[in-house]
Amino acid sequence: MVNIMKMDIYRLFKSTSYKVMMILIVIFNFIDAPVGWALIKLTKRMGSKDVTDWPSTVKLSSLVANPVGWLTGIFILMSVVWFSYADLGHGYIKNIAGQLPKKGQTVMSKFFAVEIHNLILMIIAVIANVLGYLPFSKIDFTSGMARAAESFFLKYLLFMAISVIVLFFSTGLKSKNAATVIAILMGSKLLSLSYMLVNLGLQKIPFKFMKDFDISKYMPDSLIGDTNPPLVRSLIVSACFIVILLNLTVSIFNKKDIT
Amino acid sequence: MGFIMETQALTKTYGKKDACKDINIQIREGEIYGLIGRNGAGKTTIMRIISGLSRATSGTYSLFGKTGAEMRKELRNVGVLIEHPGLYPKLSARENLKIKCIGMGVDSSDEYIKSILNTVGLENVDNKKGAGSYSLGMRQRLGIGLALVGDPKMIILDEPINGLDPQGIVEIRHTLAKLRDEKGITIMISSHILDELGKLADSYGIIHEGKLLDQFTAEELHKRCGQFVAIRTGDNEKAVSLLQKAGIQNIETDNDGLIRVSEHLDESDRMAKAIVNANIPLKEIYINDISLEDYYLSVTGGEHNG
Repeated sequence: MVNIMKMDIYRLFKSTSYKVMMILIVIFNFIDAPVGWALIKLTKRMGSKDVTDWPSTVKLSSLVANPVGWLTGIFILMSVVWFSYADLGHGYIKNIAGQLPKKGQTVMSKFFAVEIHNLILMIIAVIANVLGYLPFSKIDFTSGMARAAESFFLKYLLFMAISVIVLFFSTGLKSKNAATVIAILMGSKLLSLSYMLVNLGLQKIPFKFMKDFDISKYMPDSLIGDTNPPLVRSLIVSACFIVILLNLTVSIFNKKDIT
Repeated sequence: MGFIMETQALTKTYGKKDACKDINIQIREGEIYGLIGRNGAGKTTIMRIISGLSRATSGTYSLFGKTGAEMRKELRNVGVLIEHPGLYPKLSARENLKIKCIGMGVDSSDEYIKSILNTVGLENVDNKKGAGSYSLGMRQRLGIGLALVGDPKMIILDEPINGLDPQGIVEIRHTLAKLRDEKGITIMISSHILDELGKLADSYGIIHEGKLLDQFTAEELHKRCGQFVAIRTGDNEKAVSLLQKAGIQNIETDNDGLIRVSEHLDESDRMAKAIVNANIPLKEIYINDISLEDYYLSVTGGEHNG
């Protein structure tokens, strides 16, 4: 198992798509502040008075607490799709899966590599974002860092849960197209529209407790959008998605033939 | 030599269709076993099951004398190349091999990887180029190289010479013969190119419509397919003695009462005359000249479309 994990990590760092996504994440997070600053300047120059001033000081904690913007989210999840489907798509899996005690080990090792992948890209996104702010604002490195670290950790966990959903489609169901659609929908938080529809449907069920039920409170892509996601609920939701979907993916993968 | 791999009534069903049914194959240690059959006959299905990539619907198989969970562990000693080589196209030959070395937990040093590249004739490959830019022959050889990672006792190669030019086919044949002769690796190979299999394999299995129609050694094949003068007489004992007196040595009589003379093939007229002159009733005499392909067609009863 350890060897397979090492193999996937080696493969990850050799992966062109991972490097391309890393560059895109650096660019888009770096230009976030300059673009915002330029927009405010331009809007003001055009005579608009309803524009807030560019902040002279930015708290590092606020940047650390929000490492995954929608574009970064999509980039990371697309990279997860490409990485997790690469061995199936190119057929490399056939070279090794039969020689393992259990084929499902490849799923666990991919999950492990994907989490390292996510962590690196999230940290890089924050660093690029901070570097982008440096020419335009002072960075406050001190206040609120403990809460920010907690928020970063929770968002990492929630993103882990989202990645497992993507992994389920790409590796368990072996559908790159479905995984890509899910990655885009979850990364962009577009699924919140469908959660509203589900809520409308659930409210029609004649049970009192259903009246106030909001499914988006229990979905990782919704929770990750909160500035400060609730600690306990985020932990439980992440754990449930990871444990259930990872086991399901391994189980399906073990049962299915490798073609 | 004992059997290194043995299947018992191996069956794989997709929906209502049997991809293979009741397959009983035996492969001896250190031999090259050629699996023959047209497209869709079930060769790849059998190879997938044996290599652990697919589950049999029913039936069992043993590897190195082990079955069940113990056999599953032995699959580590079975390298595979199923259909086309599975390669990461942007990574070089070395990187593709290194990934498998790391995954298998075996030596991933440059020396070991170089030794595999040498074995499959890719020692001079440009390692700045991705495997996707290699020729088909190079990719096939790299696929065989991947199967050799971890020094397996057996390798399973599904159509490894498919699409290769004549030079590439000869090179692969030499590589496989070298692996068998020098490293003692058992090889199970399928191919449409029956002439090539005929030059390489020690045993054969003919698969047709999911069923194993025949299984035989190269020696048996030679008896069935090789060139010989076939003679059927009313008194074989007398006829054999007569031919031996005439200086003919390679004479055998099979269970069907057919005398097989494997030399002086151009002197069948003289043999016929001698038998008739000795008042031995001559029932038939002809030159038996069928190839592996002809034999395959006679067994499957159809036209080979491979």
